[in-house]
Amino acid sequence: MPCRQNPVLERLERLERLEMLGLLIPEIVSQRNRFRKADKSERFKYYLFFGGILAFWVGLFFLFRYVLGLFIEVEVFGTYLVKKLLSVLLLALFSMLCFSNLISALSSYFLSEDLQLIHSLPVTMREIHLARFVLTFVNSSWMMVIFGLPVFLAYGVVYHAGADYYLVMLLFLFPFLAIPTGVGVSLATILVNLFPARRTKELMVVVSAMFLVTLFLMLRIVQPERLVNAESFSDIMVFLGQLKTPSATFMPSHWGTEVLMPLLTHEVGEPWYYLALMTLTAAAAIIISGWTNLLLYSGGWTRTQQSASSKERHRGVFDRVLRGVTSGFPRVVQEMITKDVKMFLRDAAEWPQLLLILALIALYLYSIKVLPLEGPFITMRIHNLVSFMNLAMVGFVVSSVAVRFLFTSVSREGRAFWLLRSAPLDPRTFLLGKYLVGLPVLTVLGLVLVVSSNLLLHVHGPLMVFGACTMVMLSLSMAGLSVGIGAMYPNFKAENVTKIAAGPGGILFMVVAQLFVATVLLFEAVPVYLLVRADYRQRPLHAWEWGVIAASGVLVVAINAAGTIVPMRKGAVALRDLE
Amino acid sequence: MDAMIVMRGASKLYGEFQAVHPLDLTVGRGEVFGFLGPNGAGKTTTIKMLGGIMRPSAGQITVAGIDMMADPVSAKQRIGYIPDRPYLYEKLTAFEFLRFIAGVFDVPKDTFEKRAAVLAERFGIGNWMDALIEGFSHGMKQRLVLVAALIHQPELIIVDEPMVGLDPKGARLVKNMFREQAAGGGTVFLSTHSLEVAEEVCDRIAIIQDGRLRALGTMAELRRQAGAEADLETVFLSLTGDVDHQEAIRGLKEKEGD
Repeated sequence: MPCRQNPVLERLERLERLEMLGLLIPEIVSQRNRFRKADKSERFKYYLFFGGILAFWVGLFFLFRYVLGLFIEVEVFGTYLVKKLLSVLLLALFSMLCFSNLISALSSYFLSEDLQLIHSLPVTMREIHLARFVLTFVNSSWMMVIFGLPVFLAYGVVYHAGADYYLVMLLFLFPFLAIPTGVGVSLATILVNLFPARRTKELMVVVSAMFLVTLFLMLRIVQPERLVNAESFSDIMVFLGQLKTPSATFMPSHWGTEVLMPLLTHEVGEPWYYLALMTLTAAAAIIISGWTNLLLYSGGWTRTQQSASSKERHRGVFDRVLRGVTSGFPRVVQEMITKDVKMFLRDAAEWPQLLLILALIALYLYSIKVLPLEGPFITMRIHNLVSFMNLAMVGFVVSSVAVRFLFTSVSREGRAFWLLRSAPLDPRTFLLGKYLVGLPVLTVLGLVLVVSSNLLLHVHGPLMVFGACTMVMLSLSMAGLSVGIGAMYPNFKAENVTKIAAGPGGILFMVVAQLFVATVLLFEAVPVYLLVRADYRQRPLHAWEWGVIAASGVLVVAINAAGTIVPMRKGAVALRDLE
Repeated sequence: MDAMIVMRGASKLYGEFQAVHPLDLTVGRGEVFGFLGPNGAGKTTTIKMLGGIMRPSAGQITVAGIDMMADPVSAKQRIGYIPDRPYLYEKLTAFEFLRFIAGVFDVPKDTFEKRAAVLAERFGIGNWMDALIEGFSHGMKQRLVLVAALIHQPELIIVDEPMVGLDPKGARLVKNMFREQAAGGGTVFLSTHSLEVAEEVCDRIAIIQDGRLRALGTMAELRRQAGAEADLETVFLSLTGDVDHQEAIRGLKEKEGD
């Protein structure tokens, strides 16, 4: 009996007659199959993912509607602020698009595994270029659409814009997205002819991570929470005025502002002129990327195939330092630590995350610094209370870092995990190695956040010591929990570490970690109260108070010890029984 | 025969699917033992159970007299495992990788350096020791895995598809290495699709199909079991019941000849 053709496949096959689109069919069908073949739990994850995006989308829309509403009510400066904000946003988005397109073009034109197959097919270079251009465009732009559309819609709603605004907004999106794709593809093709493709991509990932860090820091320094206070608008305006963003009139982000603002404010402007300018520039970028591709792609592709990166690494000082630091451990643990640290520092997808941690610390401490804790009604008790509650927040930050680095550490062995399974290595020793690599990172992070926060809050004495001790214990247990649960839910096939952290095991760890921190703090609440009360009344602790504090201390130590040992043991058993 | 591998009723169940039925097998010291079978026959599962990578659902496996389930660390200390696909730590250099493996197998540091240098030269990767593995070809990685498997001088080498990705020179080197291992009193347990390799280097051959052992013996014994004085291909197809398949291929070849 002939097999009934799937209607989606039929439609795709009709599309296949257009050869350029035909080259995209494997990608489209793979995505569709991934969804259709997903089991219930995987589908749930898809729904969760799309639900999350929708919630983010709606949240962003309402946030911007609120912020813009505040802005336009400001006399004289209102429109100026709104325009400035739009140009800053468009510039940030355009810059991110440029990075993202360049990285995506390097992958889709030169590094993708399916390129070997694509090049063996009877298709022209032009068709390959067009298919890959569309792929690069889609891969790089979907995030921008998610981030951008609610913002543009919020602008329209706040200004009660007419249909012409929404129509132009849609017309403006395509060239705004296509220009960076054209630039990214051309630049990638040129760069690959000069440098090895893989190294260029790694470098670009680092540069874009640094760019993101800078962007986040700048956004935080604006102190968006001050927007609720009308008196601080003048400060913000001074700050925005200092940003030399739209001064470059040749930037598409500036053109975008000139397209959208007149349609919102009905002030005099040349939106259609700027829209035409953007469209023509996009057309030029696409055509130039085609020419660049025609001239340079073959050479670049050949170079990519030839340049097997055989970068030499000499057995130098760093190696000796690493071995010196770990010399107290058994040899197998020392080797594991050395291996993991070296691999981390050599992976351009991994070590830039350290920059993000540094940015996180800076942002956190800045937020503590600008907390409104000065004034006649703010007592030291409130500072102490904030310091105690701060432990929960630091616990959350530490667990977030743990899920990204320690929880994924077992899975990051990837397909090379067979090496350790076939080696005479006890799973407990293996997990101990992972634990010891991550523990210093968590402890230093936790201590820096707690001690610095307390210094900023002017909290000293017993509470400072108490906070530091709690953080050390929480770091020990967070490391155990994350490595242990990571071993219970390993994913050796994932190519992207972020996917491992965002999987069911990662979510479970985050939930367990927050409950754990809450439990520890619950048991510490009474001793903290007793300590603070005695300090406030400037009297020594009574014997019964010492008793309560000691009992709570023993309980907390026991909880943390259990939080470290139990998951590690369970993780070791799970690894031993792994199929 | 002094036994290196003893499997007693070792079986593997994946959910409800019986990948390997209870298997009894003894492989002696000084033997190169070939493990053959069609795709999906249970070869890799058996090899993984032998190498301690996977626990059997039932039964017992001993390596050099050590129970793999009771003391896997000691048992694995005696094994050099070579998989069919050489997934390695791409961000380490070949030297760093070998040092890591030597550390895990507790090879003394000075011994490791001497052995690594000799083996790397022998397998043609001596000039690549300080290069990152990510730049290696498949064949180079396979050679590095071979060196890693030999760095602790194992009593038993377990190897899944040994010739994949190797050039003729590399393949010859591996065959010689197998014979040397056996001559030195060690054992090689190899799974392969290459009947030529099995015929050339193996002292005894087992054929597995649908998770059950179909035949076991020397080449001469297998020929007798198959009732054919033929090459291993004919014996293999005959014992695995694929004669019809073989005839179909012959038919196609004749058609092509027309």
